Amino acid sequence: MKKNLRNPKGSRDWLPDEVAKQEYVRKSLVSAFEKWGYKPIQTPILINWDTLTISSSKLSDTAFKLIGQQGEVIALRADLTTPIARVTAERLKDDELPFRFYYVGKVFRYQSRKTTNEKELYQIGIELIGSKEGFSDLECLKVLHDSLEKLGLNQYLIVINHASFWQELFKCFGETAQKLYKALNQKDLVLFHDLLEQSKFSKDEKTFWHELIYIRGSKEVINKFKNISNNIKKLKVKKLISYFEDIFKLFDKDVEIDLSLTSDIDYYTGVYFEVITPYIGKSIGSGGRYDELINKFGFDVPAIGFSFCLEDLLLALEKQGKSFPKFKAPKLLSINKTNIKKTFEEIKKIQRKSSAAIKL
Amino acid sequence: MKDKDIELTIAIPKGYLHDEGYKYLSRFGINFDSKSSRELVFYDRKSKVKALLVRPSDVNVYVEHGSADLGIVGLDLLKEQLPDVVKIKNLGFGYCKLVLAVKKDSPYKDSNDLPANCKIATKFTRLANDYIQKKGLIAEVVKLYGSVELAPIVGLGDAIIDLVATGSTLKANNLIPIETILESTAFLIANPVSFKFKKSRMAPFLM
Repeated sequence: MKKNLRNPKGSRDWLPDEVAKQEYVRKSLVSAFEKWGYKPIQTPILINWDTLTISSSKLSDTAFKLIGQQGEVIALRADLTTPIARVTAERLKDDELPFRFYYVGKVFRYQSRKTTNEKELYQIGIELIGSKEGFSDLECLKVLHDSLEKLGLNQYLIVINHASFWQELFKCFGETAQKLYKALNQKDLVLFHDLLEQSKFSKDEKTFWHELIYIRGSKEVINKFKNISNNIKKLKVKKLISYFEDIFKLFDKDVEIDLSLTSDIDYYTGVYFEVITPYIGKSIGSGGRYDELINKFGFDVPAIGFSFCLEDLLLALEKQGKSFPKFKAPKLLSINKTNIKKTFEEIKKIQRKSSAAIKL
Repeated sequence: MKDKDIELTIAIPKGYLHDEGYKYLSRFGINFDSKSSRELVFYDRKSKVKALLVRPSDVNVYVEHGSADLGIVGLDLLKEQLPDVVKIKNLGFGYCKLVLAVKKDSPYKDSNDLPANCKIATKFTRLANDYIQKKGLIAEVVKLYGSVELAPIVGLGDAIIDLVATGSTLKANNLIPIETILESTAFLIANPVSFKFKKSRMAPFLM
């Protein structure tokens, strides 16, 4: 059989100029994170299969599974939130809260997305652990916003929704609401409207659902949201509305509510959001509150965080036409054959300020 | 840049849905001057709309990757390709059926009559395999890219799974449909990011 000596499909190399671009993205984000007092944390690439599956069934569907020498099942990490949740519960129970962590690292997924074939991608993001819903949400969104600004991406949108809103809808509208959620999750508005027509909802309730999914926008849509909810007596959204109002005290047009936004990750318990840019036809980052995840590892502590896909950020910046800093070529010196030592001393001298090497 | 000034790109399929697709867009005041039939990109500069003329099976691809914001595509291809796009609305036109068809003089009256290990030729391999599994058939799917009706005639398969609109092509090739797998019409789809980013430009299409 012919030997395959290439990269495995879905993996890639980074040549120096590409690494330079990657470094730009990494440094921009890290400097924004560090300004807010976030500290770096690293976790192993290998993860126990049980750790991975307890966190999210969606992630375990796509993770790389390995069999160890004693037959134990291990995996390659498919996200970074899970291992950080684990280490927090394992080693930091007695430390003073909150923790502000940032991370840069590779994740491995069989199908990271449908349109491309990548199986390993860099994720970069933050976790703010130990604060309940409230000001910590605002801080998290602000860090997200600052990092996008620092990056120099000139068109983007942070779209947000809240898990408690759907919990409330499920409570009030039962099984039909679950089906409607599923239709939205599949991005199938045709199915959504069909289900709505077939439902036993009253006329007011149907109107509510029809308008609900078009509540998309900044400050200006809050009143619309209030109006349509007022028609449904049993629905309690007062707390949620004031939550959104707080966000718009801080943000303007870059942040939008989108009540039709669903989440692919099943551990969010509060706000969840996505970052989109017109430069590429998919989201470049996402995040949310996950108050129950760390407790699965034995430490009942709330948390919120977000992550970007570094490759996607880079792609978006390149499409925008951004120029990146390049590596500077070193000054080259020919060896003085009668006095080799002298050449090396000269090189050393130059290296105090910039780079130098031997002309070969 | 104001939202309404952003250009909108629409992928329109050649062939069966083409004319109705143009007619549908003209309801929104979008009209393209197609001078040469060899051009693949058309503009309506007044309404800031660009149309891409693509193969029907490529519409999902252009929209999923964001090269087109909107697209007109049959439900058959949506179910076959399962693209990550927003399905906005059923446009109602372009009705056709995906059917299981056999030779007119064959003894097969429905799918259960098909012999074990039979071959079924089709362009729609995912839908064909799903159907085979649903019906519990033992069959091999043969992928073809066109003129599927030819397969049974030359013995490449016992049956075909293909689209019919009027049924005249089947008839002309001495084939008869024995089961309907899917009824399809044209759908309007959108790239998920465009759907959010070009909100006000998308708004008329949501009504």
